[in-house]
Amino acid sequence: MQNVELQMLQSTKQDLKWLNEHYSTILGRFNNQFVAIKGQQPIASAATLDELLKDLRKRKINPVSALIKFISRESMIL
Amino acid sequence: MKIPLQLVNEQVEVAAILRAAKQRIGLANVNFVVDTGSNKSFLGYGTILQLNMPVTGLQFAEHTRIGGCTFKMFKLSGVTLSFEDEKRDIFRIKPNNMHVVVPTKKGEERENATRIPSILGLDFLKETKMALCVNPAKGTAYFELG
Repeated sequence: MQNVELQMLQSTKQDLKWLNEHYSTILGRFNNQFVAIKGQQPIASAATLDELLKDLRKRKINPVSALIKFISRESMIL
Repeated sequence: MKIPLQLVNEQVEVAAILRAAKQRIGLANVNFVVDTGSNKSFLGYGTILQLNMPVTGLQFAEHTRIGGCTFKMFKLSGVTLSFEDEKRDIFRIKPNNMHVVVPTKKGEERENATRIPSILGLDFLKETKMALCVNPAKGTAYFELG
């Protein structure tokens, strides 16, 4: 169990690090879109989260295995 | 003990593994934004959709507004969060104050609600007795316990 958790966490952290390092490129390609990142690359994108999740599930990709982010030039203040 | 955090687009983020037996979530990646300006920790609506997590039967806590959207906030009990510490060991926490948020409206506001991330707030730090250390200029951030 612990090894599985570590592998999942390390994979997500690598994807987060990759996203931070390539944020401006991703922003240029996917402004105002949801993007799924897995294995340090974008694997799907869509205007809405519903569309993105539908696409991933259609391709037999479990959405929880990907890092999903909404990418936008507009900053969101919570 | 330290838990390294990530800085992504000038937000402090942490990767976690969520287990929620009552919701039949075995092991799921969840990414949180660490926001000490929030007094509540919650799974965002986008995360709920991503996990396909049922919210029926959860205890209603309150109505709240986040990022211009109105939500019903429900208490999420019996969850475990796992983090990776600086020694690459797993650190598990069973937070008592985790919530989920569900938008009250459909249409455009629901779409906007899916963009709001999951949050670990000040309540999480208080409950777990962890300190948050951030140095944006150096690009370093971590939780510290003890």
